[in-house]
Amino acid sequence: MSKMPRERVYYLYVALTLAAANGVVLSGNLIFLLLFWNVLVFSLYGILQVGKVYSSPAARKAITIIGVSDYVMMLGIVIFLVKTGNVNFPLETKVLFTDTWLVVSYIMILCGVLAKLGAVPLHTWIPESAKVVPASTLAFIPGSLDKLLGFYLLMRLSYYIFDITTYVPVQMILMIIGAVTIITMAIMALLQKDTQRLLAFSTVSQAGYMVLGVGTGIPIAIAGALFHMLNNVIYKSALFLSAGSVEYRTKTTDMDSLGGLGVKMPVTFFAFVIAALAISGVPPLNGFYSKWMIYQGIIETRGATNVWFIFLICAMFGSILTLAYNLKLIHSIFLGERPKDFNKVREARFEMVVPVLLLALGCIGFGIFAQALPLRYLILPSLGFELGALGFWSPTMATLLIIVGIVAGIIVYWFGTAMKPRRTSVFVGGEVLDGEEARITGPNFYSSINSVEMLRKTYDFGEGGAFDFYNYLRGAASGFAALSRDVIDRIITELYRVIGRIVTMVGNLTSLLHTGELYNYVGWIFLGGIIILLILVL
Amino acid sequence: MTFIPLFFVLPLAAAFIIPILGKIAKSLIWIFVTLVSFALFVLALYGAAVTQEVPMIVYQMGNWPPPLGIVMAFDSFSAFMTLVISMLVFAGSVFSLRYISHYTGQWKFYTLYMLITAGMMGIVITGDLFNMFVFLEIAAISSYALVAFGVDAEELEASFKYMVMGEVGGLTFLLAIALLYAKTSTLNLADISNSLQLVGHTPFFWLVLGMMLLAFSIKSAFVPFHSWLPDAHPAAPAPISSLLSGIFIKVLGMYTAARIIFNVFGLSRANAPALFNVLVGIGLLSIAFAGVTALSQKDYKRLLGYSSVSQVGYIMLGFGIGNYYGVAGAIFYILAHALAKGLLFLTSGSVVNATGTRDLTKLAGLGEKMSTTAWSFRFGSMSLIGLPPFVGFFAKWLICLGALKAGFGWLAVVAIALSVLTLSYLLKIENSVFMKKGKTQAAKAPFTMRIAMVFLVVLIIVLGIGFQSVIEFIVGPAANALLRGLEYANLVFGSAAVGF
Repeated sequence: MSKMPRERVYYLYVALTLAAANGVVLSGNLIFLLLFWNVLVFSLYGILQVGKVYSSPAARKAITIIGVSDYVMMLGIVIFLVKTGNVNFPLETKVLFTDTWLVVSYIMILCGVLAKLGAVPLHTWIPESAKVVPASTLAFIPGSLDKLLGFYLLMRLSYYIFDITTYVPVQMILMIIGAVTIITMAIMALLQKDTQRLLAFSTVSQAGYMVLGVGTGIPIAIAGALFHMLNNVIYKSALFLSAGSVEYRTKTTDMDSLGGLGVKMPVTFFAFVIAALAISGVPPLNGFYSKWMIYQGIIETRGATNVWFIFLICAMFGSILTLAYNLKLIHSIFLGERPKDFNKVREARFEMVVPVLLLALGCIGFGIFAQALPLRYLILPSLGFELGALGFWSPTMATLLIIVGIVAGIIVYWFGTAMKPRRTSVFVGGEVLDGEEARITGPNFYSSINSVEMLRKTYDFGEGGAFDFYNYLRGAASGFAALSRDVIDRIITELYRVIGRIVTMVGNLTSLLHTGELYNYVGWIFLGGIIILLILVL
Repeated sequence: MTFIPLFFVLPLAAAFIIPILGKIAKSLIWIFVTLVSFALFVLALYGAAVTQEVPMIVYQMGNWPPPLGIVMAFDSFSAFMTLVISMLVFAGSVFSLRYISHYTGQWKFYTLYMLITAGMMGIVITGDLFNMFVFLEIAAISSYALVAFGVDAEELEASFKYMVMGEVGGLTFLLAIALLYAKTSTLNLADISNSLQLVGHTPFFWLVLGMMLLAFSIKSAFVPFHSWLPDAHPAAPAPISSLLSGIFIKVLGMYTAARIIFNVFGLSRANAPALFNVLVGIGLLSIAFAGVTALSQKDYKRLLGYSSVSQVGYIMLGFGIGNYYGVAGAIFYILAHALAKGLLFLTSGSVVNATGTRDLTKLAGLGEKMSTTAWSFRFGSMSLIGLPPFVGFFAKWLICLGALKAGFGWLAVVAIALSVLTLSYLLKIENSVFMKKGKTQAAKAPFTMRIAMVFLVVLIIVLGIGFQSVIEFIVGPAANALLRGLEYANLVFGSAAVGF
């Protein structure tokens, strides 16, 4: 951070963000919550302005998307207030979806939540910012704090204010958003060539699990979603920070130019691998346990919906994709051949290594002692309801799920590699082969996805900005700006000019009346006096 | 409560000591005057604190009870006025040290300064109609002399015009008093109030009231009685302009009018709608006419003079609305305008002191050379225009609230719309004197001048931010004292009986 311009401003905004975040979680009133929520928008804008390079456009994009979503959320709260006459929570009797307006209100407030969580389609500011702001910002705001707050409000909204367990359409909306977010964002992550951007997409993808878990309406999945959020904060911070350490030493985030740093930065490497395995859901790390709880919840929705298995497959498949992009990251940063430039790279500074290591140990601890520690002391007390089958482990189901995962993996393998194997031969041709040139770097691991028709379409769409409603918004805004500049503005300017002229003319006229001659003035006085007396006496 | 006469006795005694002091040690005069004004400020604070507990304090001269004896009646409204007067008197006296230094006969200036203070203080604490007239004349005559203090042709002419028109007002007031005395055989305000109830709303009643209103309109310079002000106020030395525009016209015109209309004649919007509509009309006419005229002025102080005429219109508007919010707003506006306009005239003094000219076309580029002056001007302007969180905003807001509550939505809209005029004429000064690039030679304002300006700036900000306490402890009780109406008489007699 110390090389960054306006470094001190950065800490101001960090403090402001923390204060507002505490305000959000401590307010028991939607209006107050909204107030702090909006302070967060402001501080986010400020914090994004402090970038590695010129970051104004990214910050502007973030504030536009979040600001518009918050505005929608504000309208939602207004509707809620009008309909129920109450903005305090938690409520004695939760609000049921008895009225179309209440559904509208829920969905409008949900917009604000989704923008914070970064769920599809309100996520586009995160990858945009990831390119230009430092790793610590990324780990702090979109990586952890925004997820926390978004998830907090989602929980409050869905189970403390409204009660979505009784209304399937809303559950379906949440689950669809969750599933779509998991898959699309994981695929986007898979194809990134920049570590920070990849992690940013990964963050959004993980948020999908939380939305999906909450959407099921099953206690164990809700607890799982909450646990997943906690885990996400831990391992995503570890990933962002260790990627930041690498960047600190190598001055690059481009996967093409990185490689082979595992030997040089062993502690960072270790922490990164642990966090990456945890996020991919490898037992016995914490990510596995929370995902497993979410899967169980999805399975239990089979009474309510017929399409539960689609969500389950999405969640499982997303998990596989997570592992895939993490392998790509590990390979391209820490394994493979090391470029010559990095031969002198050392382990990151002590104060950078320690937090990363602590976070990695947290991943392990929370995984092994999941039931004894985090669930017992953190998750369950905050939820306040009983989980029926918490200690229940179904080997058949787990095996089945793993088989499904393997099958899905095979499908990817078929589509990706088996059908169109890539063959490259190394020609020496009498020349001494330069190690630098023959290096196999990570970024092209999954470029074969491009040849899968459906996935490629998704990717092209995504890169082209079709998911990005910011672009539409900006188009509309510039259209309106042109209209107002050429028509409305001109009329107003003319109006001002005319009024200004008239006032100046009247002013000159009235100053001419002040001749400076005493008898005139006394005359006015008598005239005025007579008028007053006439009005009063008659 | 024997401290009441001190408000009047202190400056009057000072006025007579100053010539003697001038013979002995000239340098002590300024310190003495500043100390006296500060003592008045402390006394006013004490008075405001006391009136929190007791609604009315009556001092009986020579222990003769009213209506036979002459009384001084001190209630929350009087306390409020003494507070505002003493603030400006203090700032003005601090400012005067360097400003007056190039005039001859400084002791005359300070004597007149203390006399004008004594007159204003006397008006707001007296409970006797004829005393009110006497104090009014003391203040007025001192002000004629102070306007002419520079003895240039321009100043003498302004003073002469001011004197003629002022005396038309003063004599109309005297005539009204004579008529009232003939009818009621008493001069005690409380006693007149009781007797007038027997007279009823006859043409005589309205004639007397109309004459008084005319007199006070001349004194507080409403359009079309204002024409002396844009000559007289610029001609006076800056601390005097500040005092005249800031508080003098309000004590002589607004305080007296409000006291007599509400407390002596016992009128309210409910029983005299025509009168209150006249007040609103006068207010609106002043705001618009003087505001537009101010726009085309080319003289720093003359522009501010027209601005004063325009701004007192708002105060009259508030009184004319007549409900609690309107009256409280008007009273708050007295405070707000006193601070802001006092400050603006002090900045004009600072500029004139540094450059020797008040011509807006010749002044330029002082924003950097005289930064304290420039920023004081900006804070004063922002308060006068009515930007939160400065004190002017809350005053204007209360008046608009009053208009809305009384059912005059259009009035609130017009009042706010007309403050665009305030913005534009103040921007004219800001633009030409402080913002425009130019080579006007100027040095920084002297230390005491800056102290005086900063004192008022701090008051503008602090009272604006603490507006709730100001309304609760100072403005609200003052408004209630006025809206008490005819209760005033009972309070005076009652307090006199129990010895307050």
